[in-house]
This record gives sequence, structure tokens and C-alpha cells, in this order.
Amino acid sequence: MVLLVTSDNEQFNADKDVVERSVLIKNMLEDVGESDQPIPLPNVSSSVLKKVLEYCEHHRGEPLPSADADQSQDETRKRTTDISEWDQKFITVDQEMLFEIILAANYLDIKSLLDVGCKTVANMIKGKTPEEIRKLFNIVNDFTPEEEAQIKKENEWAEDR
Amino acid sequence: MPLDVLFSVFSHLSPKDIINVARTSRIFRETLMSKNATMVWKSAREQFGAPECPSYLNEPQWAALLFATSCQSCGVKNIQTVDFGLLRRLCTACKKTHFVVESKFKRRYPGVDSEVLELIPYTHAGTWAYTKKSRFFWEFDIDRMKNKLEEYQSNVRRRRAGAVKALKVFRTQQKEMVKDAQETIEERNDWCHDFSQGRLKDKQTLKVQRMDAIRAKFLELGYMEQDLYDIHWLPECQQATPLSDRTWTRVRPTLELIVLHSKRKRLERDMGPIRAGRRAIIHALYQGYKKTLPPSQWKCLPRTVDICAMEPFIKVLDAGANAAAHFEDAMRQLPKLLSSALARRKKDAPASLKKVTSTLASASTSTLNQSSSETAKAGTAKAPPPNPLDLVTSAFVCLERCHASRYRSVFGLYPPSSHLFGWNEVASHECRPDTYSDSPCMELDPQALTIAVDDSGSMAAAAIVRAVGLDDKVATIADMDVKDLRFGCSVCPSTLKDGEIEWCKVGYKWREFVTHCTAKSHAPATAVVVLSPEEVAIIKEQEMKDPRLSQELWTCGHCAAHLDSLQIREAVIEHLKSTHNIDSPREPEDLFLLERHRLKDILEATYPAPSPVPLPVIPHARARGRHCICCGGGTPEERNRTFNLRGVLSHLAEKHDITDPIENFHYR
Repeated sequence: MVLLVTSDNEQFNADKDVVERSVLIKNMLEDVGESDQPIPLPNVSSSVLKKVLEYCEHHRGEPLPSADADQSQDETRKRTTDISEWDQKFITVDQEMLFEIILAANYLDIKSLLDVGCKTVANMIKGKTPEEIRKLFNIVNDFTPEEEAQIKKENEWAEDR
Repeated sequence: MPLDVLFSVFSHLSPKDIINVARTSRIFRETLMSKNATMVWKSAREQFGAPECPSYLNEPQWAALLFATSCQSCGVKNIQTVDFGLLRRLCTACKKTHFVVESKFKRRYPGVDSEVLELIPYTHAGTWAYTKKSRFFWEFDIDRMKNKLEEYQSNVRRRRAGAVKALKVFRTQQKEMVKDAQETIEERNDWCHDFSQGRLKDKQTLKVQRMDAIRAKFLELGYMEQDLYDIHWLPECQQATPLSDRTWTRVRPTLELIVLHSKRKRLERDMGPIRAGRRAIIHALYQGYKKTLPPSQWKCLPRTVDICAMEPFIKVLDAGANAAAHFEDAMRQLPKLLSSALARRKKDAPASLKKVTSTLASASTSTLNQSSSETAKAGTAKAPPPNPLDLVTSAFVCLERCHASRYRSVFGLYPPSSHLFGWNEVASHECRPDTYSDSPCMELDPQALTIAVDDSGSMAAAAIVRAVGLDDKVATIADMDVKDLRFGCSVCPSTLKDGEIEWCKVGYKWREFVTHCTAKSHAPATAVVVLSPEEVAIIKEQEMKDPRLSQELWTCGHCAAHLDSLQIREAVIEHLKSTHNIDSPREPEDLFLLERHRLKDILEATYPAPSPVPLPVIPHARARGRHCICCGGGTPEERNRTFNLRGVLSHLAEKHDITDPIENFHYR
């Protein structure tokens, strides 16, 4: 068992093969060796870690993406935004939590979870107009009208670049 | 959000989506336009196998040119064609306004070196047609290039270091750009064509997927494939976006209404033949039940169709496999249902009659004095007041198009008896077909008959009652039937019957006279003539030839022998003699006419009358000063208008449709 401590000082006990889906934790465990020392996760809150552990628990035992396969896998991954049914249900959370999970996955280096998060955000953006995207993510339109008109022309070739 | 995470998100997007993100805010624009983001654009472009980005454009510009769909000049949407010669996506309106054809360059730009045109992109596809002979340029490109060249040339004139070389390099680059653009047009157009085809195909696939998802959802909810036919082409199903849970929640109420309607129609269709069979059983059971009742009761019962619309029988018709149990239950409830159905019909009648009775009271005070002596006698007997529904004045009309209707027939003729008098006639009236059709597609939706009190009929009936010396407040239908009198009309002129030379008038039974007066708008008090016994005898003799006597409209009043098949009067009399030992049957106790529909051939019994007196010819000047009473509700001009006699008669006929007007009633 591995003891994890979140940013809000909550402790989580988890199986080693569950937490090792995080490359960060795996490397730490390898570096430290067998130890009862808790692993601090200052960038992850307890609510987010709970979700992350739920994900890792569900995907326990699945092969981790190997470093050398990265390139080709990345290509395939990019071409599809399909998410498995369980993952889809898992990631159906509010926007704040979604971004927290993405950040945690990025920090903990859990490629597959990061991928699920990114795909979810991408799916939210797909097919939407700039105005719809702004509305979805509360983005403020800080373009001046002139800039906006210019942006639409976006093609000025040659020397004007 | 760290850049690598952002780029990871963008890596799942199409170039068009990335363009849209880049247009949301400055920070996103700066991020995506930076050199760091080149890979994002490149990998997004490569997903679609798009042509390499040429050296004279950057990746975002190239992506905008290939994947955006709006005009790059005015922003109008849905512009599908890219002009790769011109390196622009433009709408027709902008092309028309801003294209400069080479042949007009000199005139439009006097004094400008035509070398400018060799340095900017062009197209052979004009606004109207494609022609290899002409080159079209983008107006703003010319302006820009002119300024740019002037700048370079000015540097050369000022002999700035490297200016000549810079100009040369610039010219070469521009010419190469134009050359490359022209040379790759075909290749790029091919990709565009394939892409738009693919996009169309993708769109179709998405639509199909969306419809499949909607279908799956409805099937899960218990609907069937055929319930979904009507929603296929609805915009909610035709969008090229996947069906998310949120979308489903939004579109479900709209779609489910239609699907539910289709489901109901399907169930109706499926149940049609089963229902028809069950209706036939109900009809047989109902006829069986009727046979247990005396004819005076079954003649007032509703039709099989009406029975089928009652709650327990609806259950029978709609029941699943165990309909037999429901049959028994429904038949047990039948007597109660029938009595409440009759009660419903009876409920409104007395209330409507009260209003008529009060109208009659005020109308008849002036004329009542004439028959006061006989009324006084009747008053002293202190008999209990009769039921209003038994009074002669309880005149009703059926608002259906039937023999008891107030509507005129198409030929302007009136049926001899189009009123219903008293509860007995109202209760037994049914002018609609009694069908229990076994056709699976026939689903009847019976509505209650609308039978209304007829004020003018009641007034006419009251006048007749008074004419025979009875009190209209207490005289019952039975009283009038016992008298069995006939009446003539003083307003109608005598006529000659076909082929005869003697003048005559029509003699009416009291019921028929009420209808005659109301139909012809005669004032009943003035028009009614009680015929003498001799005249009555002549009329009754003719009445023996009434076609209704020889038509299968009669039934025995003691048993249900003729329930399923009515007979001619003679046959029923025979039946009464043989079965019930009645030698001299009386109507309606022993036998009665069950006339559901109006007969075509109606007998009009007549009696001899004097020849009509021609109207005296009144000099025009003396005749003036007649007013039409019927125009009382009109404008002041109409009310004060005066006529001579002929004028008022023509006016009444034309305007009020009164052909036999009465002085002081229709005019004065």
C-alpha cells in the first residue's frame, strides 16, 4: 500500500499497482524504494485525487503506454476523440473538476487520463462558433471590432505576414 | 493551463475548430499564432491529408483558406469554393465588386506600371465564367502591390544600400509565388473536391448516427420501428452532430409527441379488426337485451355505436386477450348505463322549457281571454300540474339534418312533421344510422344528439291549443291526440290539385300545422282554422293512402318481434291479431311508427276550399304608408321606409323570405 497526502492534507491509502499508473508516483517509488513515508501531492486536492484514484482503480492492470511507442500511439490517439463508455461516465463532471482532473493527470503524468480529459474538452469545442466557445468556457472577447474584422480575413498572404 | 496540455487538447481538433478557438480571445490567438503552435496546425491539417502549406503563407492562413467556410472579404458564411489562383475564398458579391479584369487595368489605374499584375496572384475564373484569355485580379492586391513596388523603387532611387537587390529578390519571390499558385491549382482543387465530398459523406454519416441513436433511445422506451417514420426528416433528427444526453433531453419532448401519436395510430390500426369483431358481439348481446324489454322502452334506447362509446364497453373493445371477462362485466352494467343515458337527455329539457313557458305566458295574455270560460272550468278541478314535457307546448327540434330538423331541404320543401313533441318523442328520436360496422377501419366516434326547444314551434302549438278551446298551460299532447282534429291555414291560398278542377287547401294534423306555421312564418293565431267534422272526414279518408302505412316502419307495441326488422302496418296488425289477440289495435299502444328518417313521398291530404280572391288593385297614392314590421331591428331609414301594398309584399318576399305575409303581423 502507498500513502498519498493531498494539498489539503488528506491521506489516501492505495494499492501500489493502482498508483503506479501515475508515472510520477511510479518514478518516485522507484527512486525512494520500499518505504512507509507518505508521498506528498501538493498540486492535487483530495476531491480530485479521489477521482484520479477511481480512474486508476478501474484501469488497474491495463498496459501502460511505453515510451518508445509514444509517437505512433500519439498519432492514432489524435485522430480519434472516441472515449470508452466508462471513461465517458467518469469524466461527466462540472467544468471546474474537469480541468482539475486534466491538471492532476498532467502533473501525475497519467497519459491515458490526460487523454480522456483533453478529448472531452475537444469534444466540447468541436463544431462550435467562436461565440459559442466563449460562452461555454466563460472567455471574454477582448478583441476590438477592427481586430475582429481583420481576423476574419486571416489570409493576407505574402509580405503582410 | 500549461501550454502542452492546451496543445494536447488542440491536437484532437480539426483545423476549423482551431481557427474558431483562435478567434475567441487575444490570448488564444497569440498562443495559436505563435511559432510554437505550428505543429498543432500542421498535425491538424495532416489529419485531412491537405496539401502542404506553401512558403508564401503561414499555417494558420493556409488552414483558414482550406478549412474556413466564410468569405474572406465580407465574412458571409457558407462559401464552399476556394480560388487557389487568387489564394482566396470569396463570395460572388465580393468578386463582382472587387475583381479587376486585366483589359481594364490601364483605364482604371492610369500611369501604373502593368508589371504590378505580374507580381500578384490572379484567376481565370471571373464572376460570370471561366476564360483562359482573361485574368482577374483582386483590387486590394493591386493597390497593395503598387504601394510596395513604389516603396522598393523609391529606395532604389535614393540609392540605398542593397535596394536594387532587394527589389529583384522581391520580384522573383512574387513571380514564383504567382507561378506556384497557378501550377498547383488543379492539385489543390482535387483535394478540395475530395475533402468536400468527404465532408458531405461525414455529414451524412453523422446524421445517420444521430438518427440511429435517437431510434435506439425510442426503441429502449418501448416504441416500435414503425412509430419512428414521421420523425426521420425533422430538423432534430437531421442535424449532423452526435446525440449527447443533453441534446436528447432537449429534443425528446418534441419528438416523443409525434412518436406517441404514431404509436397510437399503429395500435388503432392493429386493434381495428379485433374491435370490429367485438362490436359485432356487443351488437348481438345488445339486441338480445332489447328483446327482453317492451317496445315502448327499447325504442328509446341508444344505438349500438353509442353503447360502444360507454366506458365499460370501451374497456371491452380495448381489452387484451381476456376480453370475455369484460363483456360480462359491461353487460351487467348495461341497464344502469342506459338509464343514466336517458336521464342525461332528459336533464336539460325541462330547464329549456321553463324559458319557453314564461315567453308563452307573456305572449298569450292578450288572446287568452277568448277561451277564459273553458280555462276557468279546467282551473276549478284543481288537477295537479302536468309535467312540462307532456304539454303540447313542449316543441323540440333536432339540430341534426333529419326529419325533425329545422333546416330546409335542398328543394325548399318542408317535411310535414319536423317537430318533436313531449318526452316520448324526444327520447325515442334517433335520426343517425345505427351501424355497428364490422369494417376494421371504421371507428365511429358518436356525439350526443343536439335536440333543442323551438320557441316558435311552442308558440304555434299554444295558438292551436287555444283555437280548440283548451288552456295552453295545461293541455297535454294526449289531450290533443284524443281530439284528433285537422287544421287548415287561412293564410295559404287555395290551390288546384294536379288534374282536378276543384279548389282545395291542405288539411294538417296539429303537429304538422305547427311545422307549417313555423316553416312558412305564418302567425299561428291568425292562420289556424279548425276544420269541420265533414272536412276532417274527407282528410282522414285521404290519409289512409299515406305511403308510410305501406312502408316497413311499423312495429308491434307489445313484443320485440319487429325489433330487427320493421314491418308494414298491415303485417303488424296481422301479428297483433294472431299473436296478441288484438282485433282492433290502437296507436301508439298496440303498434307504432318508428320513423328514423324522413320519407321522400309525403301525402298532403286536402279539403275543398273556395277559389282564391284576387288582390284588389289599389291606386298607388292611396297605398303608401305601409311599414314592414320585420324591419324593426334595421336602420332608422329601413324602419321608416313606406311602401304601397305591392311594394311591401315584394319587400317581404325578397328581403324576409315571407311569401304569405299577414297584415299587422308582418306589415302594418
